[in-house]
Amino acid sequence: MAALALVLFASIVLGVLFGAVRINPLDLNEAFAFIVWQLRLPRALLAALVGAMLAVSGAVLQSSLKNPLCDPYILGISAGGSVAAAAAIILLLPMYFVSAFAFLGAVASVLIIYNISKIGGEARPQTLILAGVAISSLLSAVLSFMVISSDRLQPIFFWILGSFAGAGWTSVQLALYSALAGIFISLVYSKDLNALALGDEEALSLGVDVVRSRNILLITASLMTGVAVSLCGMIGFVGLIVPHIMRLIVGANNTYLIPASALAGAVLLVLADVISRVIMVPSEIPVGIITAVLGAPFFIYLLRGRGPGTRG
Amino acid sequence: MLEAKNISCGYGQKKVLNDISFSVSEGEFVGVLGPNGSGKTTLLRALINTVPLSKGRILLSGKNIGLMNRKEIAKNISYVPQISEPPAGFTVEEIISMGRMPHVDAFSTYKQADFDAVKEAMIQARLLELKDRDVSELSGGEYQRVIIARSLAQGSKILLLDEPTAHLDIKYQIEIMELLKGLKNKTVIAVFHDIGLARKYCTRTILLKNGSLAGDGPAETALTPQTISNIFEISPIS
Repeated sequence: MAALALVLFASIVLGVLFGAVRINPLDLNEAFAFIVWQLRLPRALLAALVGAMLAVSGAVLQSSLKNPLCDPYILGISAGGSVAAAAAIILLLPMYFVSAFAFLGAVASVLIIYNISKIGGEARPQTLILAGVAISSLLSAVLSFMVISSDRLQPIFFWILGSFAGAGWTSVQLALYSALAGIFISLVYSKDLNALALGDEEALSLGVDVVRSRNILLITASLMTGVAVSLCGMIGFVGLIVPHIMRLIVGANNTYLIPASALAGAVLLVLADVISRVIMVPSEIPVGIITAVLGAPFFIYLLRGRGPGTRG
Repeated sequence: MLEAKNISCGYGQKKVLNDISFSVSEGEFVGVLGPNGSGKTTLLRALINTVPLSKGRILLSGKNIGLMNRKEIAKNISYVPQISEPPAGFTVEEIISMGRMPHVDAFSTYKQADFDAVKEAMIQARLLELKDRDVSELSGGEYQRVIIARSLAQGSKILLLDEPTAHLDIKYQIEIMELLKGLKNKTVIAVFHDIGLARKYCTRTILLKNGSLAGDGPAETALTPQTISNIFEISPIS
């Protein structure tokens, strides 16, 4: 855990130094100071906070819905948040409203999907994923329609691809509050999450109020995902892959898995953002492409190298 | 200590249990037997209030269980479901520690008493040397012992078990039955398929057929060839 925190610090330093303009830490002038304080640092911090929120959301969803395939993207939570955020942008609402809308959209879509999959008893894993995919594609269609029909197209287009280009201190502040709240609640409920991972019946017999705990956890994951989406669009893969990688290293116990996922998610997105900025200077490529290219081979390597569940 | 009073319940429109009454006192080892679909699992679920009753009530030391919260029930009754897929990534010790959940609240951590209870349960189920193993690497019999150890760590007086010996080799079946029989100051209610095992170990058997009580009494007298052939609809081999 300490090693991960160190790596996170190093990646943020890297994120500040590298970009279209290379910063030399020994030769600071006013232009460089502006770039660092107004552009690079908030951007690196935002990437870290968003990475942490998405990874913890993924871990929470995977355990609370007892489904290893869950993440905010696949379950349509990101799409629900995006549609609501896009609506807020079209209505020219201020940023805090955009985030609030995204949060409500995310909560609404997760509740719809969960209740569809629950028809006829306990939510079945396959139904959950199918309902998520269905709602997700429906919402993507709605989003595409909004992009085409709105003349405020540019800012919404940025949501679909996912980027940290809009980072500023206000967004960092907003991300910080929701990350702190979301991770704190997830940690408080980490024992309940462990029980939920065994199944509803066993969790009930261990004294967990299953419905209440799961609702709180789903809303917490939606809060983090919604805010993340409202600030930098839909970034897939982090929420799915980071918890899995961390589970292979620290185990499935959520008391350790949640902080480990938060740190690893932060590192992954900060580094992915650095790469997205320097790989095709002066243009940027969407950070989601980088996360996929970085994450997938590493994940396959881990799966092949060790059996599931072995500790590092 | 645990009393079912005229209980009926089911899932949605489907009725499963019909007007069942019995009372279990401390220290009994009760085997619940009956053909597939007779309501054995549902009876256990009703006893820990995970299936709502349509009629009747269940009393735990005289208190209506329907009015108790989950933690209160969990402190008094533990439940071992039918053998399930072990969740990868948890160690034996972590799974057994979950049994202490009813005794700690969200903001606090496990205390010495909790660690002691977990260790004691691991000793009883002879799992001490496996405590750091990932549960997904265990055999079926070992994982079943882990879940039973978790229910012991829970510190409840009453243990409900749903087919604790299903899918196990005879050696592991006997091992689990001996473990259950050797428990001191515990009341055990367990569903069994194996009539022979139930007759050998249980102090009492409750027989179900089509959701109704079809027999109740000490194993030797309740499980006669006559009642067995009646309930399971087979003709005795003679």
